[in-house]
Amino acid sequence: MGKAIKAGAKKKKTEITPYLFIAPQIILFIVFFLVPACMGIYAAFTRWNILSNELPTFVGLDNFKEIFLNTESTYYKFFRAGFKNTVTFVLLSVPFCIVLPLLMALAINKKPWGHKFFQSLFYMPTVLSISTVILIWYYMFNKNLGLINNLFHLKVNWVGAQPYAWFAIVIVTIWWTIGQNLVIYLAALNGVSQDLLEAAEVDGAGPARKFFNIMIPSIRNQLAYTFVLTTVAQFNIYGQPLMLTGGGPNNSTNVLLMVIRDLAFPSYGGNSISGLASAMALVMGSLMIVIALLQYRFIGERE
Amino acid sequence: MKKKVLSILLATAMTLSLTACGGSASTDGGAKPASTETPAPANTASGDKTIEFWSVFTGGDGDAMQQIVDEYNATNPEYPVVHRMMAQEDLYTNLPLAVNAGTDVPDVAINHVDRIPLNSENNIYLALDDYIAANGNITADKYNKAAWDAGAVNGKRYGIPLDVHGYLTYYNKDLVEKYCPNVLDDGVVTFDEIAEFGPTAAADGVYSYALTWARNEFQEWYAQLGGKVTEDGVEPTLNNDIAKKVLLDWKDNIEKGICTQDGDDPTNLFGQGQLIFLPEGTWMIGTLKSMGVNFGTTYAISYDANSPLSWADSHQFVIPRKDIDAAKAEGVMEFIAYFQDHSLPWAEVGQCPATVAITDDAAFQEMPQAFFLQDPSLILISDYKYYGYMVSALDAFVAEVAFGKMDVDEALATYNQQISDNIKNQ
Repeated sequence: MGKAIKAGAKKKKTEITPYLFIAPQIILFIVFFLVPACMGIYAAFTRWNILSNELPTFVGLDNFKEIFLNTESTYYKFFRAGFKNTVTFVLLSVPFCIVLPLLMALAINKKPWGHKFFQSLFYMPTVLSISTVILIWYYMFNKNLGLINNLFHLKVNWVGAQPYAWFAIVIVTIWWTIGQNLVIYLAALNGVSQDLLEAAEVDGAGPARKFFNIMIPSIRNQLAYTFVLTTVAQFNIYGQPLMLTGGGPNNSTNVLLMVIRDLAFPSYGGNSISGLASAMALVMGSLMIVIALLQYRFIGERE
Repeated sequence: MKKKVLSILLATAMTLSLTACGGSASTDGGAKPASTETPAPANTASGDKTIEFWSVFTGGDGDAMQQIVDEYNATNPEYPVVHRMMAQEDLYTNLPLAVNAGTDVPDVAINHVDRIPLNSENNIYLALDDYIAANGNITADKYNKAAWDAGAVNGKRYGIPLDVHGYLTYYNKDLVEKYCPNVLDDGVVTFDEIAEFGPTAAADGVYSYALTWARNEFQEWYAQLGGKVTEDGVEPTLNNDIAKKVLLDWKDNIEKGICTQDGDDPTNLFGQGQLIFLPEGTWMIGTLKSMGVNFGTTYAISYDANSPLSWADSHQFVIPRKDIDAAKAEGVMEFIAYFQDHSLPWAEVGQCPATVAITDDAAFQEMPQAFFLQDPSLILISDYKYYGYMVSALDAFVAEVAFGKMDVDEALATYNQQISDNIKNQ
């Protein structure tokens, strides 16, 4: 008995070391995530001008009532519109951001001549900042001078009319982010058991059969991981519509983060309306967590 | 055991180094590293001998401002000036935070005049009246009236004008000669005149005017027709027939090919000789010169030849709220007064210095924007406290309605309400 207690105590003592090692990360997490997140959640129940000296005033659920129940309110309209636009973008872009890099990874994985070059080429846009990306594409999409209209002899107003504005935003997003998932899939495909593939071949399985019955199950975890991360990333869309379309035409690309940002930090002056903005952000964040959990549940590892 | 001690040491060292980083970032107000580009120790506590000056100028205008500051410092003032340029969104976020925290507050800063009504109400500035009186050199007669008047709120002065920067109409002289040779005899082009020659030009694929920065053009035309953005200084009053007329006239001209189309780049069209009148900012002069167009400048396109009200804004010097001793405040006033006679570099980057002295300067008189200062009653500078909410709303709907993508009644109702709701919920 006494020995057991001693052993237990000793064991406890040694457990400090790993915590010390992760301490820097924990501190950063607390300072830059946990504390702001808690403040944001609290702010959702207040009325608060974040740039002023005044403390937030607690208003209970008023902000949520304004967003969800007051059909006459500006915020009711803009929250709904922003949410709808954000979901539209997620639905339009996520399938491409998963399938295209997967197909490209399959092609590169065959190791054709120059595959290293193409691998770097496809990854390259990922390192650019959003402003750089938008500047490049803004001129490509320009109605009068743009490469795209001139190349195909079109007169399309890419960023000012629908459905082209969504095309433009989705194309830019895919071009910008394709490399991230591509490298993950390449690494995953490298890990697919060659024995299994050869065995399948001996048994007469065609390429499609091999892909769906061996490759996909083998990279299931990576697919789940990229699916969740890509969805979360696309929910956070902000820079592309902000800089490319300005939220137009007719507010159809005015996504939720733009609505939230305009409320919390008005671009051209005016007091910050942080309470309502935080309430919207809290709703959006909670929904993203639910969606991510569902995705993990349905495609993640089943054990 | 040794291993454990080592690991604890390492982890502690890492933790400490991180907290040290964080600490230095938040408390560097007292002693800044010597490597910053300051001629003197940049201690911002009151009682030191430099003036900390924040500006929103980051492009060519930043260089021009630095040149004036350098020239001022070369006069060996008692309080030399340290000029810190930053992006305007950074300045407008940092200034209230610094003032409310009471640390790292600059001694003088540039603010757009449209920010002054709300910021003064939020107690961000010091009232300047006593300092101005003590200095004696800063008087209304030395400044452009429109800019000077805009710097005061409820009888208290918070801003001293640096410049007026406004929206002009640039015109292509060759195209004016071809399509409308006499319309500029009175210096103003009106919508009635455009209705006459516009269709002829449109038939040749030449636009008569352009949708550029829709919010400024809207404000000009709305004001020319007598529209008021607010009656009581609080509630917006944009949802009315005047606003509707401006938007529908505009839409009509776009549909007729008289005004530029959605997706067009008006500056480029102007450069290529496909646009007669380009409404644009004074700050575009350099760009247009580099395009090699034979251009002139005049007031805004107008509904009324007698009142071509033109939108403008003004950069103003403000003193953020802080404990500032009288001697240093006097140093700041001397610095501001220096601009009265030394603003020419500022004019050279396309601005209109707001001082009366500059209008007599021969070099300035030759600049395209010089006419803009002649009649302050034609300069439209907003004094609406909620200008920020209003222009965000204008950005969201004016061009959309003009290009036929949003219904005019719905847009005016929705966005007038947005401004109003923002005011209620702020």
